[in-house]
Amino acid sequence: MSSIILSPKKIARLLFMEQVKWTMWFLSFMFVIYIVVVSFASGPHSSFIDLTNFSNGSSGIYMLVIGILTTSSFFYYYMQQGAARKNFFLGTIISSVLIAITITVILILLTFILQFISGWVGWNIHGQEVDFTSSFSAFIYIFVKLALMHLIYFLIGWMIGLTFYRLGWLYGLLSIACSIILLTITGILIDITHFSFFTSLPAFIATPLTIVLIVLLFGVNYRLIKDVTVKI
Amino acid sequence: MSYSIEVSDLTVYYKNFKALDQLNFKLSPGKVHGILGRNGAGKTTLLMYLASFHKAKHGTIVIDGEDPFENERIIQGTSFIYEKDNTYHYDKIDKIIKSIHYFRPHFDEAYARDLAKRFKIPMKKSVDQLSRGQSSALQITIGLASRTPLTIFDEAYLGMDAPARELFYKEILLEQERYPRTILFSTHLVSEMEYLFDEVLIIDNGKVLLQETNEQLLEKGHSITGPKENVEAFTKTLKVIHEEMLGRTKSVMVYGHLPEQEQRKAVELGLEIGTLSINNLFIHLTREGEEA
Repeated sequence: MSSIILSPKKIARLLFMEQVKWTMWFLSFMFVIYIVVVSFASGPHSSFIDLTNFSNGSSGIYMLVIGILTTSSFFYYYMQQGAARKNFFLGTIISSVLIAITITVILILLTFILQFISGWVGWNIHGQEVDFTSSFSAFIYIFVKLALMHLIYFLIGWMIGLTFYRLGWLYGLLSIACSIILLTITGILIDITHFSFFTSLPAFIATPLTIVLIVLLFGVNYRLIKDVTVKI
Repeated sequence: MSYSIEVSDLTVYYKNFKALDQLNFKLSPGKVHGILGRNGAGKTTLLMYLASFHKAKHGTIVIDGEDPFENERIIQGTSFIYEKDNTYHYDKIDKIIKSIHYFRPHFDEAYARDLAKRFKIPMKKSVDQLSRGQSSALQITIGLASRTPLTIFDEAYLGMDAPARELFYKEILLEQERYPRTILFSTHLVSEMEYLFDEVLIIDNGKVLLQETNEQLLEKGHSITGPKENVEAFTKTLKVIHEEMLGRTKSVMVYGHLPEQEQRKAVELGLEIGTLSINNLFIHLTREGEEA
């Protein structure tokens, strides 16, 4: 018998390839909208926020949506192709981490490029609360925060999709209520999300709590997926 | 390569409804098994458990010596073919056929393309544009060409016209000769498929009604025709599953072993003995308790 071909690594690769395509579409639209807005809103006497600040919020919601879609578009398909649930779970975790990093890298990179060319085209762009241009440590700090935020949003979306799939609409709606609480907690832990209404915590408390939140979401999603019935 | 299946005391509840009731059976490897049953008998439920779509809570399932649930080796070697909803499936047929080798180690792409051509599946169309019959044919093509040690077809021919179904049945036999595997067929189109089955498992109201090889089953079903009194006298001790009257002539169908000595006695009484098709057995055995 040949070895297992739908290993977590293989599933992660296939998922990532597909999700990267979606992400490119999303980022392209985001980029075009930003260019249109910035060309109107910014001039010699007015400045406009940079791309990362502009799309912060949208990119989180985008991750939430692809998290929700994971179950309906990928889980069912991979189960039909003979994948084990735990392999799909691990594959999704790997691909979601990669997507969270990728979307963050691309957004920051585009922001840098736009700032670089803004002088030539006469735009006046400034960073707002998310400032990563002042120093290297600020850059790393913001980068990690953004990547973690994207990952958490994906995991919350995945949890909502899985709850609807496994337990039906009533529990599904409950999971949405739950996710609003989780998004608020995320907003407190990571002070740059568009849900950050409350005072933020110092990093030495927020960072371990963020890790705890991520591990908790991994656990909840694994519990939901590990023996779920594949519906036909 | 083919998997054996052993099911012990499998019971399934859907809320308070008992869909499967203490199923016990063994399916031998490398054979074509007909899983027969009326609508709602529990066929699809059983197949979903065998395909590990469900986790068995009461009772056990052993496939190729192991518990199949979340067993990478077993589920990689199991194809479950059923009618799928393709409304939102926009991939081209060509791309789908190309992609199966990512998942199934024994997938034969050339054979799949050849079959798709013979089923007249338009390769340039996307899946959502296929007719119901074409969509079924595509699933069957993938199922056959994947050459998985356990291949499960759950009413897989829905919407396919007679020539396409005929091609499907012929390919089953040819493929079984080339690459023997365990094939499970759930169907109620028994009459046109009965020659395919090596073994037959009939499920009724969530229970195993009978499990026999094709030959055993054919030996157990008899039709007895003759004058009313003689037929009634002869079949008094037999299990009658159906009877018909035409004037003074009575024709009954009986289920059970009929020794040669009995058969000779019937001939002496002027009775005519014939064999019953699996279809007839299926219809009348699963109709007990209803008006004939």
